[in-house]
Amino acid sequence: MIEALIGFVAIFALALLRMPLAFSMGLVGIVGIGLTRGWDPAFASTAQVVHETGFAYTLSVIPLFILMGNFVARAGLAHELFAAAYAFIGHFRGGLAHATVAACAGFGAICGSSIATAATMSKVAYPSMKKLGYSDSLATGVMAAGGTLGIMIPPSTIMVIYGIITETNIGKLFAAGVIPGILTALLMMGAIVYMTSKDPEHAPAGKRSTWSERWAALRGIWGVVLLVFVVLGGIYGGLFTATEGAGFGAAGAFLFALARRRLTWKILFQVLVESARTTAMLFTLLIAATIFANFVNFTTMPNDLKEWITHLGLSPVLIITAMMFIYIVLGTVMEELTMVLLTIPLFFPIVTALGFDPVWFGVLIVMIVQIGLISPPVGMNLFVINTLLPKVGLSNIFKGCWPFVLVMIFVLGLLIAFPQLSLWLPSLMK
Amino acid sequence: MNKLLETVCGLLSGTALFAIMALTFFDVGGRKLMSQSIPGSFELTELLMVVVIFGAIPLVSMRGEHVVFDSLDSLLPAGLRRVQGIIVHALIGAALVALGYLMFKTGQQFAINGDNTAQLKIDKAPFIYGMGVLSAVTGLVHFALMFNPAPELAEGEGAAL
Repeated sequence: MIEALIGFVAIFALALLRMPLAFSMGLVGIVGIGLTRGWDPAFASTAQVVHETGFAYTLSVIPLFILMGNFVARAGLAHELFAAAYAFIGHFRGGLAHATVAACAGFGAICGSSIATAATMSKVAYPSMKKLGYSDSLATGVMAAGGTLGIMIPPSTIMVIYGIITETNIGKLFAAGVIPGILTALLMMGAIVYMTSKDPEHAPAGKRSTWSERWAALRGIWGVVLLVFVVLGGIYGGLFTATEGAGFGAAGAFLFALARRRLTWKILFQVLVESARTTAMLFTLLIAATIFANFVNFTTMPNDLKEWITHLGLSPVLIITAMMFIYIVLGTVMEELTMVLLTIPLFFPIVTALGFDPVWFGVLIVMIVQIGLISPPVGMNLFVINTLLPKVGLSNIFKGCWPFVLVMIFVLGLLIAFPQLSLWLPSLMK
Repeated sequence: MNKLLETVCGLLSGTALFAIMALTFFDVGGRKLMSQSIPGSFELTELLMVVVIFGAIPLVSMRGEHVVFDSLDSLLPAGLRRVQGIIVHALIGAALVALGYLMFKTGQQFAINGDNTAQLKIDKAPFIYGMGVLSAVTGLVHFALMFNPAPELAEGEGAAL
């Protein structure tokens, strides 16, 4: 127990000294195994982890989904999604804000990244909102919060990572995110209704589209619909594994970008290398996290923790709620990927020992990451929008995102109280 | 030097990634539609994954895209941060060069045992040597970063979430 605790403290210390997290975890893991088991096993197991993680067919799901998202972002499909959403709900008060949330949800169904969703949408939605006199805080808050739907609505990078480190079925995780994602989108729209009722002139309604305009707008998004149908439908229907679906999706998105003449050789190269870099960064983390987890599993910590928790005799739901509270607080100051990778080796054994479904816990983790991405002072989505729209100012963005943080905390509560919201769809899968 | 590394590593990892995509697409398409798969596609994907990951790691380091806890940055004076950078990069550089040596040794073991893939009988050793070489190259990148730190990233650049 003590060895593992020292390990965690050492990682935090190194991370605070600005050592990249991957190297902090990897070094502490190797040294930990070296000191407790001997240096030969430490080096042998390190070499084994590095080469096994490299040569892993199933892990190719990571670069393929990242590639799909990057192609989709370049294909310019976001404009059509936004136009279609606006054609249907733009005539309500705050119509552009509603349309932004809906378009983010749609974009989230083909892109697994919150930051990419927020960044793409800010280019599409902000100019329209600005033109109609929307306040900056509402406009940016909606884009930052809507962007996070990208990781709850499948595909989702963070779900893939969670699935890999906890050995949970990625297809089931994807299915589990659908209802919570749609629910979050609907409640965000509810929040927009409430906010705009207090301040109507900052969120005027657009003009009502005719049905022929609506059908025309729908025709613009057939590509997105087809991709979602083939990739996610194929995974849910048992036609594909997640890896196969990702390969199909990436190739489909590539063909779309090609057909829409959005790809030059230079852009293609950029997209490929950018995706490869994100992959390499994630794999460095995965390799390091595995080395560290190997060390922790050699110690008595996982068992000690389980025993301690059972001895406490608290109700399991209370323990989960306490964990979520810790996460929300940590998420305000920590980068979310770091937070998840560092805490999962600690929390996951407890969660399974309490008899909870790993798929359900995965959805909670995604929700926590969503909240963390938009909760000040450290929220990546907020910073990204601040970089893209420097004139708005961080304080305005902070002001705009708070209502959505509260909405998401409310959804988190619902997900804890009603596990069926997450688990019903995966239970239907073959 | 930077330009050369970017081109070589970019071409390596980017082409390998495109190949994985095409391979999965045709393999799955062929299997589902015409009950014909590409022989050895699994193992080819595995070998290509090694190229994608290890080909791109030097680029991640060069651009400073590793996940870093940087919330304390604004609190530290610039001089102290420079010293911190030198120590951190020296440590990482040494660790990666050592990892390169370790993987090279592992590669030799694979070569002696004649380990190859199950279906296509492709030797694994060259790929493990490659892991070793590229780890060591990444280590050298970190040594270079000791005195020429990577430029600040734009927010969200290289982020995965």
